[in-house]
Amino acid sequence: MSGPPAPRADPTPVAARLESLLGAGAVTTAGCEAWATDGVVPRAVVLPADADQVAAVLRVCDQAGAAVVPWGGGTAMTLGYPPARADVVLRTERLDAIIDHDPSNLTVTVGAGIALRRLQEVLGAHGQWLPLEPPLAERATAGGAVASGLGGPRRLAYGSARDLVIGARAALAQGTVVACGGKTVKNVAGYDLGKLVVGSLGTLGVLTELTFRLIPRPESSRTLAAWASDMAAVAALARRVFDSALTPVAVVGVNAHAAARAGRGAAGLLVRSEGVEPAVRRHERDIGAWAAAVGMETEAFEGEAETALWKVVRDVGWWEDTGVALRASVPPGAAADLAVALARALPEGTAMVVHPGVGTLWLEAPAADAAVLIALLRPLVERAAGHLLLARAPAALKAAHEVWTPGPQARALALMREVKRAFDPRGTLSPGRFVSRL
Amino acid sequence: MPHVDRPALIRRLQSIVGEPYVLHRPDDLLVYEQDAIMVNRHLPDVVVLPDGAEQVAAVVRLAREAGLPVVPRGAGTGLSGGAIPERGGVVVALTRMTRVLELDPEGRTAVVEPGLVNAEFTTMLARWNLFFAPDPGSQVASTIGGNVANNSGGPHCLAYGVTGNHVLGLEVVLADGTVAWVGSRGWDAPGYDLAGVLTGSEGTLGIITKIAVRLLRRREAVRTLLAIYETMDAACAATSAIIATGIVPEALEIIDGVTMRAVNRTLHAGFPEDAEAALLVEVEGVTDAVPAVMERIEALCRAGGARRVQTAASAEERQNLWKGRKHAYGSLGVLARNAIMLDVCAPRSRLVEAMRAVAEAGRRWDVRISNFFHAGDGNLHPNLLFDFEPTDPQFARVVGATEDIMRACVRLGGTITGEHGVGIEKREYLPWLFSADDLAAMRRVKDAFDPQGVLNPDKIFPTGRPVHGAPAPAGGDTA
Ligand SMILES: Cc1cc2nc3c(=O)[nH]c(=O)nc-3n(C[C@H](O)[C@H](O)[C@H](O)COP(=O)(O)OP(=O)(O)OC[C@H]3O[C@@H](n4cnc5c(N)ncnc54)[C@H](O)[C@@H]3O)c2cc1C
Repeated sequence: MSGPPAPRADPTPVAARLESLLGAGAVTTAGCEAWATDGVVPRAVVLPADADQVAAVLRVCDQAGAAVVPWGGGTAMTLGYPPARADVVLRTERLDAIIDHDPSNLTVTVGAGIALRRLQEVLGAHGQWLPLEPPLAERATAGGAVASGLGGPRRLAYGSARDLVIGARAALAQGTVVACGGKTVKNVAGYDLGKLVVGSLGTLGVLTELTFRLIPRPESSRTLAAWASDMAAVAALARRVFDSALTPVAVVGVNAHAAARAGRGAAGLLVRSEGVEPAVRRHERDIGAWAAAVGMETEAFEGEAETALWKVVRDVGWWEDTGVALRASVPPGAAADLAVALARALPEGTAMVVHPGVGTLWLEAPAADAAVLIALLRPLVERAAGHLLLARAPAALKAAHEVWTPGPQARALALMREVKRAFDPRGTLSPGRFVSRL
Repeated sequence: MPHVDRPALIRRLQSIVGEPYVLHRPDDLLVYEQDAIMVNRHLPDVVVLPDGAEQVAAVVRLAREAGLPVVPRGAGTGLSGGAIPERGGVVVALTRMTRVLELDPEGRTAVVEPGLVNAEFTTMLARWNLFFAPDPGSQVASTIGGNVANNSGGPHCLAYGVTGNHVLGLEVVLADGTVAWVGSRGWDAPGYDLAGVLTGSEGTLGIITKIAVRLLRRREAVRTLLAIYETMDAACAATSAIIATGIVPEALEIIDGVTMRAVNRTLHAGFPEDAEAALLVEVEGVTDAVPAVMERIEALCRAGGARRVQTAASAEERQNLWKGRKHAYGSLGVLARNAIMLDVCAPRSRLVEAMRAVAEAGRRWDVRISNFFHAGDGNLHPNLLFDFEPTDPQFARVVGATEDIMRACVRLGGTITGEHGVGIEKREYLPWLFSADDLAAMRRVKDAFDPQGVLNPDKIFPTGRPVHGAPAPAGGDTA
């Protein structure tokens, strides 16, 4: 990262200065290996108590030329390239307040470090939820889910972080705290800077506060699974669903290996419908009939069984610590065909789920198969005008393979560099971690 | 014009886009001096109607060389002055670029040109049972490029989201005359979400030349309900109650008594003459579910004191119920010679208070106000009516009332614009919402995209000038 050179380093070690800022308990320099990002071990781990402290940490580090890696629940730290430097890990855990839940406005404002699980419990008591379902959601924070920007199964109906964040506050590298948006579901006052932080992996600022739009919990929810002998039948049924006026909230194809994780033995299509009971029944009736007509066996999931099933789907890529995760994003119309083509060619032991409505495929495989898988996927995804993300892999693999392929178009990438330079001129925030090692 | 003389500029523009597509005579320029806001205007030096990104890029490069600002423009239906060439310069009108370039009915995506008119697109999509969800009241005229640039909403955005929720990628001509693709034809393009920032940037960051959008499948069944209330308080409370129960209908609009009486005079719509508010609710979905949901809404409306509730299932009956809402803007003319339409938002939990503040501002400043608005989103559209010119000293009362209303909504946790944009009209009020640091962050984005301030200068950001300053001297051939 070029930019103005850092001022001459202050002789006081950064950690000592951070300690005097935050108090002794909030800075650790021992056991930092546990806070490594792709093997890059920080010199200190800090736990600021509020947005002002986050800003103060950034100011000190920015001036001292120390790189800062924001850390929420730590579930998605494998995303991106290994950081070029990681001197200080900034944990957001203490920014965990529910600042303003306005149930009859269907919005909530929270500290970015709040555990999603706790937030969902509080919202659930009001019959509401935040339809954000990142991998390992039970351990993720709201801020981490937004900064990593990974969508979940019900994105088809409820959108992703980009659609759900209506206000945000972030501490910038140079130590100012800025806000954008608000708590109204519509708002066009000024640039929508919230869009920039979604999926930015904390490379533009450290999120301190987020306001989300919420949705009511549906009174009924069920999932119909239709099992088949191959992915072609699954894709055909998915087409039938999308060719209808049905309004499912999630439609996902799984290969047999992914289904095995849920204790089933075949490829299948999972269709979740939510809402008033007559709507759910109608989905089951229609899809059940279409499946029966082509000889697919169906099975209904409800309650805890349904939750468990979708957790398996949500977490493909994150099941095994030793695995690699790949995500293909293609125009939605190309997803089903891609899944069919892949199903025949995948190495044994690769789990695949495909979300035909949003054009996303997730794959998990043992690290040993990664190179074969990447070589197989890349041309297919590119031909479909899509993108491939190596979402989780051992650092050695990342050294040999690009994380995002293809990267942004050259002129767009130049703009992204300008944006990064505008917000973080010295490259303090997770340098080297983002697209094209920004 | 600093660096290129006018005849040479016109000649060179003609060589880029073709002679018929450069407008420079005062008569021809007149249409381009304003958008749908009635209180500001300024003539451009020249208007070009390019076809394709290459032409747009060449025009931008030439304008830069000539030291002229560039103002993109769609149909000119904007309500905040975004397309007004305040400093003159080159207006780039995208209205010739109307093609649908790609359509994938199965994947429910399309790539269109920015000048395509919103309603024409949706009409075209009917064959495939698809539609483009954003449905601004101006949809028969406004362009999809304008919708994206303003991140426009519409009645059905309550359930389906605003324009930004449907944009996947954009081709844009940047301030340096280069062309970039941001986002893609699907979700999750790598890198910062520049398409997200460009959406709603009002032509200040780039000129949009292609738009990749997602489409929605038409619902099987639709039901519409109209409930009449004695008071605005009751209609707002009913809205809050419906949202709070967890039912999110596809549309939830309110029309006030002043508007109903005006619509009666223009259309004979048959609204009661003595009621103060009507609530219009629409529910869409599968046939099996819609009646059940509508029954619940009807019960909530009645429990909230509705005097009369009508429901409609057939297309014709539905159109009848919507008639009042659809013609509300057109009926403003019978109420006054001039109007300013505000676009404030309040949290849905504070609707009653927000609408009281609107009424109070009208009383305090002696300004008549009519209201028809997207209640379910908390997006209010008070229309401040007046019978004088904006140059009249009395106009200060109107401005006073607009400021009271905006301030009240900010105090309630709302915003000064929900869908119409900041443009010229609201830029001086941004500091009511944002700190100097917040605005500086937005400025960093502007500088990253357009360091020389070529594109739509002075829009969105506070200028420190009076809000409705005296019109500046006109440009054009006579200047
Ligand atoms: C009767 C009426 C009803 C309306 N109802 C609604 C409503 O329900 N919801 C709503 O949100 N709005 C509504 N509007 C406002 C307006 O119609 C919308 O903002 C609309 O999207 C503007 O589109 P346009 O093509 O007319 O854009 P213009 O007015 O021409 O331009 C709007 C802004 O976008 C910029 N721009 C235009 N095209 C491009 C481009 N290709 N690239 C970059 N910048 C561009 C312009 O510079 C300007 O800043 C209404 C207006 C009227 C008159």
